[in-house]
This record gives sequence, C-alpha cells and structure tokens, in this order.
Amino acid sequence: MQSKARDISAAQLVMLLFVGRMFSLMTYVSKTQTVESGSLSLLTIPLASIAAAAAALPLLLIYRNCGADPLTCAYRAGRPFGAAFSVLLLLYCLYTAAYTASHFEYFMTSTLYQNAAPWLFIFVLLLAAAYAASMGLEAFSRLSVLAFVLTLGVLILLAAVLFPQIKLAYVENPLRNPAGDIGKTVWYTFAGNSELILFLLFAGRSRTKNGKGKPFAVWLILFTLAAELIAFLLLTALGDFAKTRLFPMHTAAVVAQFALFGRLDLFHIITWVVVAFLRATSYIYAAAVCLRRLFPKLPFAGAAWLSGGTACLASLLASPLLLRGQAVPFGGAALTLLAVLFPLITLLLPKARGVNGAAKH
Amino acid sequence: MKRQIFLAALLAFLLSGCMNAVQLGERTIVQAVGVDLAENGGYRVTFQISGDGGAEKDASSGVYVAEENGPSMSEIMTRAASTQGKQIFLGSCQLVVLGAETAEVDVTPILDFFNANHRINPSMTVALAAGTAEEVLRAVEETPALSAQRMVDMIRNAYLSGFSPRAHLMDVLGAQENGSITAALPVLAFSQGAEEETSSAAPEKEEPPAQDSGTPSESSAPGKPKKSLDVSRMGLLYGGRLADITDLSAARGFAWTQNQIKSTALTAADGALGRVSVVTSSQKASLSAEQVADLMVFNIEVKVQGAAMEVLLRDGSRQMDENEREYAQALLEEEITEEIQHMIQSTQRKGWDILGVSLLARQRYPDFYQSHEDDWAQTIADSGYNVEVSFEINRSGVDTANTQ
Repeated sequence: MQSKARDISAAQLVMLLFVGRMFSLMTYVSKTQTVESGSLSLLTIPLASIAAAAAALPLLLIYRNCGADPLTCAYRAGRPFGAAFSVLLLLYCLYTAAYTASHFEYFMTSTLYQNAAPWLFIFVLLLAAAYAASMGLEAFSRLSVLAFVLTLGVLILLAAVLFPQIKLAYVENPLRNPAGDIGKTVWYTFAGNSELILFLLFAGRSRTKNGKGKPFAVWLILFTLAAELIAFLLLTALGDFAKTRLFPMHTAAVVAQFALFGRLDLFHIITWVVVAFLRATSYIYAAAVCLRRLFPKLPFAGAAWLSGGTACLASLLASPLLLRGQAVPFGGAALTLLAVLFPLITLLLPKARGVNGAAKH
Repeated sequence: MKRQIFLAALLAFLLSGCMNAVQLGERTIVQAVGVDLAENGGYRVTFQISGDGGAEKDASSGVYVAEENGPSMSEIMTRAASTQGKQIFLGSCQLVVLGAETAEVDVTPILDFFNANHRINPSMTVALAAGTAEEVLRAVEETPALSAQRMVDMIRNAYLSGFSPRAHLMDVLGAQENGSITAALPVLAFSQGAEEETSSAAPEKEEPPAQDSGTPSESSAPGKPKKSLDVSRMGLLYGGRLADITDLSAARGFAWTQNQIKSTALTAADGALGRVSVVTSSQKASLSAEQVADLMVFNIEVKVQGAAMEVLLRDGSRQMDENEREYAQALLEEEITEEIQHMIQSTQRKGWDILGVSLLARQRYPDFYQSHEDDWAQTIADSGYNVEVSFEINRSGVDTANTQ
C-alpha cells in the first residue's frame, strides 16, 4: 500500500511529536496519572523536559556522528544487537499503541458514553489507525498539522475564557515539597515522554538542514510551554475542585463558557479524538518499522495491520492492566533503556559509525 | 480504493448500531432538583421537569413538578425513571436547591452524586432554601415565572447587585475539598408582606398571583399578605454542613470583597447632608495577608466608584459642592465598611473562612499555616482584619445646575 517512502518536513515532525505528547496531558487522570496536580507540576514539567533533553543527547549524537537513525546504526554494530533493539522497540511501541487505545476507551466510557461497549472504541480506533499507518508516515503526518492547529486553538480559547477565573492564591511554592516527592514526580513526568521513541525512529525520515537538534528543541520547548499553561490553568481556575474530578482538563473545557460557541468541551473532545488517532497511528507505524527490520520481506502494509491487530488484542485483553501500568515506574525505566542506554551503547560501538567510521549527514 | 471506501462506509453504518440511541421523547429533562430529608430517613427529592407532565395541571410555565423518596440519590433517580417512564436526564439541570434541614445534616453525599454524574455541568447553581426545597421548586405551580431558569437569573442578578453570593457546584465542592474554606450559598426564601425589608432586591421579586390553599405558598387572597421569593441572604456551608444563615448586611459585606458587584445602589443620608443616592459603576477589592507575631492579619481594601443619581441636600439644593461630595463619600465609605465588618463578625470571627484568606495564608506563610493547621478555624477567628474602603463619586447622573 505504501508504494514509496516519502520523507516529512521538520515542522511535521515537531507537530507529530507535540500532538502525541499532548494526548496524555489532555485527559490525564488526576489521581493516578504521572503528572502531579497542583503547584508541584509547575516545577516538575520544566525539570522533566530538561531531563528529556539530557536523555536525548545520545540520540542526537548518533544522528550527528553516524548519519543514520539509531536502529540502523545498531544493526551496523551487529545483527543480534540490532535485532534485540528492534524487538524491545517493537514491544514498547505496541504497548504504547495499546495503552493509547485503552486510555481512549476509558475516557469515552467515563465521560461521554457510560453505557457503551468498551471494545467498540478500541476496535474502531485501532482499525482506523492501522489503516492510516499502512498509508505511510508522510500521509498521517499531514494530519498532524490540523491536529496541531486544533490543539493550539483549544488551548488558547481555554486560556482566554478561564482567565477571569484565575486565582493566584492557589499557587504555592513547589520547593516546599520533599525532595523525594519532587524527584518522583519528575521521574513520572519524564516517563510520559514516550515520544522520544518516535523521535528515535522518525527523525531520520525528516528533512532537516541543521541536524536533528533544532526540531527536537522546538518540540520540547513547545510542549513544555503548553504543559505549563495547562497546569497553571487547572491549578488556578479550578482550584481544589480539580482534585475531585477524573479528567480535570475536560472539566475545565466543560466549565469554560464562550459566548460564540457555548461550552468548549465539544472542541476538547474533537481535538482529543484526532490526537488519540494520530498517536495510535504513530506507534503502530513505529511498530511496523521495527517489525520490518526483523522481517525485511514482510510487506509494510502487512506489518502495519499486524501491529494494529496485536495492539488491539493487547488493549482488549489487558485494558485495566495497561492503564495501571502507566502509573508505575516501568514506563520511565523502559524509556531510559530504549531512548538512552541503547543509543549510548550504539554510540560507543565503533562499527555503528558505518564502513568508514566517518560522520555523515 | 473503491473497495476500501465501501468497506469503511459499511463499517460506519454497521458500527453505529452498537451504540444505544436515546430519543428526546424518551428522556425526562430535569431543570432543577430540590433535596429535603424524608420523614422515614433518606431523601425526598423534588424535580422541576420540562414539559407538561401529562397536562395534569396548568402547564403555562412549560414545566411540571414531580417528587420521589429514597434512601440515596442514585436510588431516587432509578425510582424516578420508573415513575416517569423515561430516563432521568440531568444534563440540562441548572439548579440544585438544598433544604435547610438537609444542609444541617450533611450534603456531601448529595453533592458527590451530582459531581459523579458526567452529564452535569460543574457550573450548575447550588442554592439553599430557607425552608424546604420542595416549597421553592413547587412555587412554579402557582407562579409560572418561578421556573429554574428564572430562579438562576434571580440569583445571578442578586449576585451582580451585591445582595447574595452565587455558588456553583464546583465552588462548593472546591471549598469542601480544601477543608479550610467555607462555601457561601445564596438563600432562597419566601417573604410575606415584607416588601420594605427586601426592597433592595426589588427587581428580582415576583408578585405571585392568588394561590390555592394547600400549596406550599400559602394563600395570597385579598386581605392576606403577598408572598414573594427573595434572594438576599447567605448560607454558610462548612464541612458539608450548614453552619449559619446570615442576614442581608453580611451578604452585602461579602459581596464588596469579591469583585462581583456590577452595579448597586447606596444612599448617603444624615441630618448634616440631606440625601444622596449613588449607583456604583466600578468596584475593586483586594485581599492581602501578613503575619504579625503569632497572628495572621488580613487586609481588605475596597475601591468603589459611582455616580450620584438623586441628590436632595439639607438646604433643598440638588447640586453638591466639593465639601458635600467628600462628606457624602465619607458616609458611603462608612456604610460599606460597616457591612464588611458585620460580615467579618458573622463569619470569619466564628472560624468560617468565606473570604478564602486561608489560601493566602497557606501561600505566603506556609510554616505558619502548617503549625496552626489542626486548629485553623480558631486561627481564622482570632486573626486581625483591617478594612479600608474608598468611595469616589466621580460623576452625577444628571446635571441639575439649571433646575434648582
């Protein structure tokens, strides 16, 4: 189905990563999710972003020194090493795609259609995502532009409408929290940066003039600003009420009344559905890329459908387990292994730099 | 490609059958809910519902009233659905009225029920009935204008005029979650022949027509005092229980500190000045906290501007000079200060923090807050409150220079 692999622009890459990362923020569960509510998040979001920037250094160095994506370099270093890396990446991408579908279903059945069958949402989302993934990176990256504009639009509208309700008295000094709590929250927030894996796999397919550092930095800065804005709005406009709600950002959208459109939750939900679709598609596509590395003769479309089907099965069978899994440090450990340790080892292996060992761009 | 499009269309068509569709006619659209205590335990819930309810009564208001009893809110909703023969839809509910007795016990389970219902907007208005919630919601049967929408409008206007607080579900639950803050609720009460007492809320009042005996609103037949619904007091909800109901003066004092008053009327009058009626045009309030030894001191600063609309001075003149203007301003400042002080005496001095100064204390003096957290209500009661009000009459409503 994907006749010819076409590259994407750096802007499309940034938007794809941004939209994917926004998914968890737009419907984060206040009591169980990785991002702490309250003033602490105002501190931990930038700290986690700094940690993500530091974690991405080996990745960026690989792109700079080896002239290829980390997976290709890993295969250059040795087939078993490359295969092991591929398998682990494949599992992580399938897990994240399944988690995305489970979270999508959880939100839908908690807030909109409480009596609907959960399997329906998982099945429909991953069916559409697998199809979109089989069309290729460039095809669904174009949708990320629309999703990016929608997300920013909703954020700006929310901020404008909730502005009069802001009470700065809710902001407290986050440094008063114990160092252990700060560290734990930074770790959990960092664990939510699974888009580092997408960057690992997709940055090689983006057309950039000055290396991969710039789009990465733009993505991280954009996300940090958006996350800070959301955290600030939820903290100051909803106050302590946010703690009583399952999805505080959705609540903020329900509460926000805009004269022209009425309640903003409809916009929030539409945007979130597009964002969920794009995120699931991205991870199914990434899983298909890994699968094709392991089985080069497998047609790409087949790999995409196989990945989508596996993610669907995992989500249907283990939905409650997947939702709980995000709250434990497993996510951060897996991310560190795949986005930091493997690239670091790859970087240290001389063979990974290619036949001549010269830097390529 | 055509096959794929056909498949996608087929799936969309087939999958739509997987979701249960509910027609509008299969829903009981609730506009307001009133909760009282049932005689045999549990709750007695009164619903104001859109429609004619089978046209048993005059449906000129477009709403009818139904009632259901049960041990819990969830069970009552299930029973009501059975009685009505339709699903109970709370997505359009605009108002929850809590009976005074109910609020004295504990409203936490009731508010939690509404918060857990995903269809309910957290901006829904919550009010307290001075008597029973049933009486308030059944008033629409005799006075069609007293629909849920009308009552919400009354509360909003009373709020903007500074006669009442306005409480949304999210405000009440937020205060409860915080633990240190007391929620201020509007109080809906029927007043009998007390037009003068509540004249300040006059634009909101309804003149109910003659009513049948046996209705919650007693007869207003000729010769008997008329009843009207009045929103001019303030209910204090602390820890899920009704702490107190204040008078109008305290409600106004609270309003001055909340940046809520759009426009309200004040009159400066004494033997030295005569009478000057002013309508406010802007109001700004700010709160700050400072720690003085082992005490918190909260500073309340209020700045008001307004226009003199009616002037009748002691000498019969209708034009103020600069001295008279300053004197009138001082009288108005004194009146507002008294209302704020009265509010402080009625609430903060009893440990009920309706001003939310606990947030300020926790933000600015976290160590102090932590060390006094266990006895915070007493700390609030013992705190100092400095009130500073400035009033500027910045314009006259009419130039009366030529009419003297």
